[in-house]
Amino acid sequence: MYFAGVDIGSTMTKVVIMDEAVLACVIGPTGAEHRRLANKVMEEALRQANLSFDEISYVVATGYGRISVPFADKQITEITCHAKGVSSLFPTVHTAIDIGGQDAKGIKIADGRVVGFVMNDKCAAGTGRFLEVIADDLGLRLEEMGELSLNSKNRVEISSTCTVFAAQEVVSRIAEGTPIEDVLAGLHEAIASRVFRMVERLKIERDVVVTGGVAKNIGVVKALEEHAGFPVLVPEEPLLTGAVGAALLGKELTLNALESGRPIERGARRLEEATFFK
Amino acid sequence: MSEQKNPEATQEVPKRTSAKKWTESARKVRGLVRDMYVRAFTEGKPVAWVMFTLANELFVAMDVVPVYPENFAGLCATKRVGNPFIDRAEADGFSNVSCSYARIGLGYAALWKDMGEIPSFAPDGGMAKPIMMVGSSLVCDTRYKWFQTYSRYMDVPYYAFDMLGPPAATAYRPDVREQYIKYNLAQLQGLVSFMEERLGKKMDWDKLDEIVRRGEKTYVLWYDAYMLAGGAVPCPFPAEDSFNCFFPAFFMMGEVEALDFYQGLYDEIKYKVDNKIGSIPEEKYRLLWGGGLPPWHTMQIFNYVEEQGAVFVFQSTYLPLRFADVPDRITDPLERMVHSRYEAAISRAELDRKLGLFDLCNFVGLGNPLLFVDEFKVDGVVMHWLRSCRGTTIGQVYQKNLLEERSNLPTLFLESDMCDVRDYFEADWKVKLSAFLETLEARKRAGS
Amino acid sequence: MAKGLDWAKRLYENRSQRAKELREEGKKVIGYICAFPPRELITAAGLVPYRITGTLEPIAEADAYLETLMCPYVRSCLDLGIKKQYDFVDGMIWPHTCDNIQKTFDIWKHYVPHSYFHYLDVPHMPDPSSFEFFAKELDVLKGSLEEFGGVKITEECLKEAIGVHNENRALLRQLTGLRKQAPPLISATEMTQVMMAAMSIPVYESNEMLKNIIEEVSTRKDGPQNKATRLLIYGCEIDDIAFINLVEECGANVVIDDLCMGTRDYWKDVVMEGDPLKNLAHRILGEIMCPRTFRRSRGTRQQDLDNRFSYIRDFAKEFNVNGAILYIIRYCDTFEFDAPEVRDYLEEAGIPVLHLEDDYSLTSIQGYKTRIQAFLEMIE
Repeated sequence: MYFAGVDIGSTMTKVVIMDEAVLACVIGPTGAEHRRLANKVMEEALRQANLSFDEISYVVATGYGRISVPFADKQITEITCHAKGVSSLFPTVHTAIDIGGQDAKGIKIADGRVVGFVMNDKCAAGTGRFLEVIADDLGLRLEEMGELSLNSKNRVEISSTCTVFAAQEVVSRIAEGTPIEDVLAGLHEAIASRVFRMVERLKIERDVVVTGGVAKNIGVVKALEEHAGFPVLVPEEPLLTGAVGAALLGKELTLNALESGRPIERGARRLEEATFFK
Repeated sequence: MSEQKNPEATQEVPKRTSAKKWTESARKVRGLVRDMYVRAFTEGKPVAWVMFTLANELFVAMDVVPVYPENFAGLCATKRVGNPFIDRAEADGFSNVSCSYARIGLGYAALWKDMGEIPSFAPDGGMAKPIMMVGSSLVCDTRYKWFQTYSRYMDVPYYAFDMLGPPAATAYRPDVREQYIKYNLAQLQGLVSFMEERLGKKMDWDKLDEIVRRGEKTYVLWYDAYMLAGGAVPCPFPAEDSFNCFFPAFFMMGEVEALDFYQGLYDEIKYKVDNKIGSIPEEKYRLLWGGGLPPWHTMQIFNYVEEQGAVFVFQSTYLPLRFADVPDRITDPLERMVHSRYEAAISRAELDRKLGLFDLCNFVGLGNPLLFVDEFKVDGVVMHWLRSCRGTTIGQVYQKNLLEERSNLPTLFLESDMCDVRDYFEADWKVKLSAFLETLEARKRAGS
Repeated sequence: MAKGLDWAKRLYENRSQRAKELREEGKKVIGYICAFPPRELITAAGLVPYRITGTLEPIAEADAYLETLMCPYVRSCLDLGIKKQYDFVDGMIWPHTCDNIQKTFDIWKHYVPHSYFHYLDVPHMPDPSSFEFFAKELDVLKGSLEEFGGVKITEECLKEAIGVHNENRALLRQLTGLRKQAPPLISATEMTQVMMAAMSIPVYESNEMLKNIIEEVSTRKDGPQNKATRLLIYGCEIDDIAFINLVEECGANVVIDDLCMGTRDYWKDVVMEGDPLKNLAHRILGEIMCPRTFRRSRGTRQQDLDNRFSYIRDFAKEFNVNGAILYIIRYCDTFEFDAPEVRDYLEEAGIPVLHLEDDYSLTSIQGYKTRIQAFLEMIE
């Protein structure tokens, strides 16, 4: 039996198809506004796995756009899906920290299940957006910021917690002649600090796993470790944990239903593009 | 139990943020503040954590060292070490809009509990362990809610009492007067009973009487000094000094030192006024701080505007209470305390009535800048919105609207918090203040 | 014409309609904010009590009169006042229940013209001296209502009014009791509509309406569907169905509440024997379980917490809930201080909690959907 997990983020859609092992995983753009391209990512994943849509026993959608895609059997929140995905990769996890482009989450996990969570989806300052804005302002590539920041010998403090003001502060520091790596180090510390404070509400317990696009940024990860006082774990593909978890949950639902002789509850799914009005 | 790193290891070295002061008296205050914390550890007397409740006299009379966590929060903010405490409190689920004094105070107790000892970055050695806590409803809700939550971290009995004030419209009615005085008195008596129980001894009423009467004299000196300074040209006592000098009145009332302090302050101001000694070399603009707690995190901002020729001649946030004389027939010290506070409310209300503001309900709430702008020859008013203080923020827009209607004075709103430095954007403040001064300059040139 | 649930829903959409009609007929309407002012006195004076509420509409006018860094609910009420939406209200009773309400009194009075304004001071402590003070304060209020209404409120008349309002509360409790079943016979969304309607019409009409609704709902076939999760919702001023509806749409039955527009308002009655003003004081100050009233307790921390919060745990058990949502409005100081304690108290009693802080206007529905859904997934 084949299962698919689809994580429709605000910028990127991630699809994972699996049976006993992962058969395909694709990351592609969600598409502006109407999430019109999410189904294209699904199609690409099916091509990679060499399967047709109907061969997928169960599709679980998660993420920001989960509600408006018509090709899922069920939609489950990214919180539950991340917990599942991260636990499958790191069975010792107790705290998951997901830092995406537009939001950040902390999830407390016990035995693979969510026991508590916190979210920031209102303020850009503790998310990938913060880094994007600054990268833009400084003419740097997002991917190189983390490495650059590690060269710092003398980290400066970026005191503004608001993205707009922080960006101004960065520009004026550089104009003053502060080495760029020191400013970047301060910036990475600022994000890490913001996220860490939010997750502290859950009473952080090891092992801590960091996921999401920002987990690829070594500067933020190191800064988080400094706050935690111990190393944190990062999966090889930090963008995929939501989709992996979604697929696994679909599998669990299906197998449970089969075992207990219940019918599998399916949605009226069609592989087509999402429309604006559901 | 959270596996978190010891917060002090991630601490930045605090910058100096406090203001340079102009008067001898203001410069003495830091020492008095330090003494409050040190005494609590060294004098071997029972310690109480107290909210500002206008009842300090009771603690002095019963030989208790009062420690004021809201002052501690201000001190932490000045040294820029408040935020680790705030973070700890918020980690427990307290909101970032709840009073930052409370967040610092609660975070302090939480970290103390977590670490098994007082965090080493706590200024002046921190707050010593109390045997009782006292709060009241005076001024705002946080003042009786905050300490109620301490039981999460410390096992110390807490007593809260009510202190209500009538609206100006009914404060004069004899029956209303009687109703309020009776209630406030009963509430104070409840506090005394609690203290007697905790301390295992009775109140020394003669001693209290002496202390209360000393306090009454102190209040008069405090009021006279501040009012004398406000009207003086040039200004001998700018707001940064004035904000500091409220400390003995709020937190040491009844002590001989407080009386001596305000006598000294009065003498100093009188001397300066008589000899036309001001502060800054050229007073281009006289400003009024018209509302909101000061930015304890960056009091230097007052020096910033002074560099541009502007001086805050008065602040109406911590207004001295002008007690009318309490009649001699009232001999019970608690009654004298209640009467004098009620009289202070009436006299405030009288001033509001004179301005045609009949029904203001601000008993020890916002000072009304309208009362001072003409007398103190003010060019402009600055007010401070605080994210975490409802008590001194609500009503500022109203005050501004009244100022515009009645006096045509320009008003500037600055926004931050009294302690939480995350809400403060210095570049923004500097730009706004400079622009405001340019406005005042333009008005001057236009002859308005 | 059925004057039951349908009528309540229509009233919810247009809350002032009945009060405006009565005004045309020559009646006077007295508005009040919060659950504390005694409606009984208004009724006894022959006036129409009307509960002032806000709206989820964006605040347009209030910013020019009131700062943004304060309770958005009170701001919204003022906004409506400035927009002249409360012109049909002849007068206001303004209680000193919390800082946000108290400190807006002057501003409302200055900018929203009414012919009657009364500031009702409310002690924060529940001591004998507090009850005495408050009874006197109610007496002062009684005097001013008598003057405005041109009547004398006799003791009998007041007792009668108290009786009718007690009946009103009893009917609301009875209706609430129908939510104990699985599925509950009335949804939380409908309950909010009923409550809002009940507080915008005279108490006699309210009682009639409630009796009809109880009958209707007891035998209905079109009630809420049974969901796996039963929730309790704790908070302050929820006067709009948007949030509660969202929770129910996410797939839960909200079967009981502890809200200012809910059980907090009507759970206890006024004692009938004895001095009515003293009894009114006792109900308001002693029996309305709101964080703004300081509950004294000596003893251990656990005893203190039980004294303050055991009633919430008891609600949860009685109504068989499997989770609770704390819906706290940002800048609501008293509730924000209690929230971590309530959260921990319920969790220790085995009730999982979702602690949300909102700005009252529900600007980010998507965000709430995710949190609520994740919570439901967590506890199922």
